[in-house]
Amino acid sequence: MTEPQPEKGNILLVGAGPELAGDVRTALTPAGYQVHVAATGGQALELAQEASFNILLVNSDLDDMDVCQFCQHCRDTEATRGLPVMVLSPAVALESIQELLAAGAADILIAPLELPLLRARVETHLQMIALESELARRDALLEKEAATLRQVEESVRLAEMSGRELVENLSEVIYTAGLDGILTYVSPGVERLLSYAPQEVIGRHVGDFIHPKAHESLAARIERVAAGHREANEYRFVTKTGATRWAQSSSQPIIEEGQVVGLQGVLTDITERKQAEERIRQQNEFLTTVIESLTHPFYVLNVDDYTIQMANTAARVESQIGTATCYALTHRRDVPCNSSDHPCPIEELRKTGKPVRVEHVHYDLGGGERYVEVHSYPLFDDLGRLVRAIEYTLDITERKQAEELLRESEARWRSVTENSPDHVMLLDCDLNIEFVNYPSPGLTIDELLGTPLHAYVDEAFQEEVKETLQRVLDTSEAASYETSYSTPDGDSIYYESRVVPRLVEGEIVGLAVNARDITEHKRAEQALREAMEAAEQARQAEQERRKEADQRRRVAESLAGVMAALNSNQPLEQVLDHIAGQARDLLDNEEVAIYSLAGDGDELILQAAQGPVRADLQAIERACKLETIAQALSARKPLIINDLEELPSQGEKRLPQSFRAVLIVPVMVQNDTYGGIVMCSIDPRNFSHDEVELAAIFANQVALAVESARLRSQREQAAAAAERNRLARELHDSVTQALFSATLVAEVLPQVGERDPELAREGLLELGVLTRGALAEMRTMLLELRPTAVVETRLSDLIQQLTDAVTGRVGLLSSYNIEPSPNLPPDVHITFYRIAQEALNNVLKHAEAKRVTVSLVATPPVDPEADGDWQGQMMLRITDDGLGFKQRELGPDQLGLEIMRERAETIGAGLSLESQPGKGTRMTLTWPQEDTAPDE
Amino acid sequence: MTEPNPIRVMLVDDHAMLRKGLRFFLAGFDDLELVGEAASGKEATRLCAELEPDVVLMDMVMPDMDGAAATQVIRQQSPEIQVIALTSFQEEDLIERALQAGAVSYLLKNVSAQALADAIRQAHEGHSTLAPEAAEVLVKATRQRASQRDYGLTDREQEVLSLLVEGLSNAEIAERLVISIATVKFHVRGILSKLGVSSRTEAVTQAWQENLIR
Repeated sequence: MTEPQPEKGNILLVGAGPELAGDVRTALTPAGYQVHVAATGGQALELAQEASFNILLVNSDLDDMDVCQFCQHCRDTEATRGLPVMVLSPAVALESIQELLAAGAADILIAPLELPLLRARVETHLQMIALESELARRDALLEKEAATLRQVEESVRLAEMSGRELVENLSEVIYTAGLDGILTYVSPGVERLLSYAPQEVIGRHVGDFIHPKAHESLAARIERVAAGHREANEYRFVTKTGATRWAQSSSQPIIEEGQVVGLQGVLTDITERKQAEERIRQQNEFLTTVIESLTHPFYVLNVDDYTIQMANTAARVESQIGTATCYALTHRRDVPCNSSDHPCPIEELRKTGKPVRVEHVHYDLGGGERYVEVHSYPLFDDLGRLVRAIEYTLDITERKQAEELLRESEARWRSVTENSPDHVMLLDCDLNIEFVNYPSPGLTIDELLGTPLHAYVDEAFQEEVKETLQRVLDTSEAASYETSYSTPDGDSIYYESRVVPRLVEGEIVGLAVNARDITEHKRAEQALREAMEAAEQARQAEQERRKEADQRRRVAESLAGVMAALNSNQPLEQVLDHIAGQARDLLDNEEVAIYSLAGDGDELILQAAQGPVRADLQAIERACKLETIAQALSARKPLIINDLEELPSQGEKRLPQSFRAVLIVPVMVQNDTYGGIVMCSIDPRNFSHDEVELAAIFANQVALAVESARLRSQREQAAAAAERNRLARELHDSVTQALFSATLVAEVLPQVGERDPELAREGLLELGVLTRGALAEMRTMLLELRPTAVVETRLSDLIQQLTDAVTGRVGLLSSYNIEPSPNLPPDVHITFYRIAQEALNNVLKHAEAKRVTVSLVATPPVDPEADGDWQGQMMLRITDDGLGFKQRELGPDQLGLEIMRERAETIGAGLSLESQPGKGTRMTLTWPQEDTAPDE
Repeated sequence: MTEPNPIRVMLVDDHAMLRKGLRFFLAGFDDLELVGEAASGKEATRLCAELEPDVVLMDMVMPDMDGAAATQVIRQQSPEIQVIALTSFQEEDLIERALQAGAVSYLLKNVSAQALADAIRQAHEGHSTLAPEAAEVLVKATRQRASQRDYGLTDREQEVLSLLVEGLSNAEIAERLVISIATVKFHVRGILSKLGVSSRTEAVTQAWQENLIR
């Protein structure tokens, strides 16, 4: 094979079988063509995207598409557009060929394929393409040249535009005019300027279009131009519509052959400029007004040379505007300020590009120092360069002085607060600490500053403190509060704080707090409170003790009262009533009743009661499930019911009770149950041990009273019995003596009778008297032994008996007048008997009488037949002829007489004793008593 | 007709009727002669000194001076006069007092006339007659006294003890015995120690119970 020749082109063979491919290669490769193969149309298209081919050989028998479609695709695809597509096809009809050609095929090779033909055709197509390219290139070149030619032509054309056209199209107006001012030519631009068409203007005086005010100067100017000067002036024109337009006119004379024949000029519309100028002027005026209105000095400075470009009157620059520098004017310096003493605001502007504020010292006209605050604002040009500084200054001299004073006072204040024992704090309007003179233990000043005060007090107080501080802040009214603070060691410090608002010129700027350590004070308060509490407790304890002592005293008094009652020989019922009353008072009951047991210990008998209502004992028994209270008492224990309603019901409907609390204590007398005390309260009670004991004491008192009464009655009975026994004994004795005497007499009578009959007879008589007397005394004795017998025996019989007895005893001669007695009331009857007895005894014992007279007389006399009531007077009289007595010298018998008198008084009888020493005694007892005393 | 030397008898009794009876009784005996009557102890002592009877029938219980005291006085005055106690009472202490006072006989007022007359005659001879009841009482008393313990009390202590029993205070005892209170206290201490007791009350109780009082 020959050495492959340099490539002539890339051929893509599409859809060819191996034979065909081989043929094509055979044909083309030696010619220097590179043959690539694609199996299908799709592959070919793809391949064409990646590599550049010059020709496509397509077998008409494609697998994946119709060959026409392939051709269309090639036409449509950019990578293959313009590439010749040669279709290798078997013989086909003309229509098919037309169709292929229409689809874009460049050539059709009819099989069988002639290789040389193929080669030739390929070459041809490639040549054609090369030619086409060459043509296109040349076309482009030509086109370029044509364009250039056109440009030149255009420039020429433009250049060729005549001055007229130029003129006609300029915005400026060109004119010419004669020396008389009549316009000879005006460029069309005049229409733009004045809305007149040129022909309307030409031939008229220029002044016609100028504002009347300028006419004078216009003429002068025309003359000057005519004189050969160039003039540039501004004129105010009036347009056709009457509007004002400004134009600048620069005119020069037209010289022909050395003579001025007219003038020509250009008018430039400067209306906008003029308007702009006017706007600027107005703005400047406005600005000046504004800055003049500023009371503070106001400057506009040139940042490059520090000169004052603008200033208001307040700045007092005036004549030096534009020349003076800020530092020269205000600081009397030759050089700008530097940062060490006063920072220069312009420097600051330069550095930061932002508005600055610095403090300076300026000098006023008088040379005095003024402290000022300089506010400086930058002004940038279009390129962002700092060109101007706008400054105004505030005289802060007073403020500085005030600040100085404030600093002084603050220093003074600080020295005070630092030496103050109290904590002094200043708070800002957010309640944060701005200043504190010294911190509480465990805190440092640094950590306190800027934090809220209320955060440091004990939690319990925080809310309150915060509210109080806020309230002072809101209302500007001072307040006080107390808090506590816990140190890290765990101690508590108590503070009393006073908060006042800090006002500067009426505005509230914060709070001032003064906190005083009151821990000691609080401790003292606490100690005092404790002491007072202790004192209160002691006082209460004392009160309790007093109450107790009082109670005891009452109990003691009550007991003493009962003892007194016991000792006073009051009847038992009264004593029990008294005890019941005491029990009611001291134990606070509504009803107290004392019962005794009777029968076989089953029955309760009421002995005494205090209170309005009796308790229903049966109801209590039912409620307490007792058989009987009597049995409970026999158990010898107290019965305590704090609340009847709380006892479990037995299922029966309980009777409504007036009482709810019941206390029953047994009364023991000599180890037997006498009965009990029932104490009832309307309200439920809680009976204490003390109360039950007190009730027991009352029970004891009842027992004592009962026993005492029993003893007394026993004693009385014993006394009565003893008395009776004494009398009986006496009588017994006297009877014995009488009988003894009688026996002696009787025993010797026989002997005496033998010896002395007379004496014997006397003896017999004596015997009779003795025995009768003995009998009478026996009877009396029997009466004494049976006291009721006294009442049963007629009074007259009794008196007779007594008289006989006396006679028998003493052998007194006695005479008597004892009339039948009526039925007298028993006490009268007994009294008469006793008094007679006593009187006769006295006669026997003391009178040493020889004769006694006894009389018992009823007036009116009693009719034994009559059984009815007798009404009259009974009189007993006993007279003796004995010693008699003086009232004062009675001695031992006085008591007997007293008793006689008492007895007489008791029955309403009158007793009289008449006696004189040596003249005997007469006792008279009358009943009923005669009313002897008229007025007593 | 009366005997040539009848026994001269005096009656002492506050009851007139008894005196009457005794008077009549005496009239029934030739050898007994009533020489006087007294109604009280005082009268008796006076009359005895005056009349100097042989035998006195003395009632024991009389107001004013009682029989025992009168007996003592009469016996002291006139030791030859014999006193017969004639009384209703038979209490031991009465009997003792009567006998200690010097009465020779003790009779109760239930004695028969004959026995009484005999007693008078015996008394005149200096012989005692005791009523059976009285004799019984004395026997009992003597027996009791025999069984009594002897605490070895001195006479003074005995005296003080008897006053203690009467309920006297130390001052009263001192006044009664005409000694100082200190001495009384001294005696009391002796009594307490001898009786083996620690208080006056105990001493009195023991004295009563054991009949230490004379």
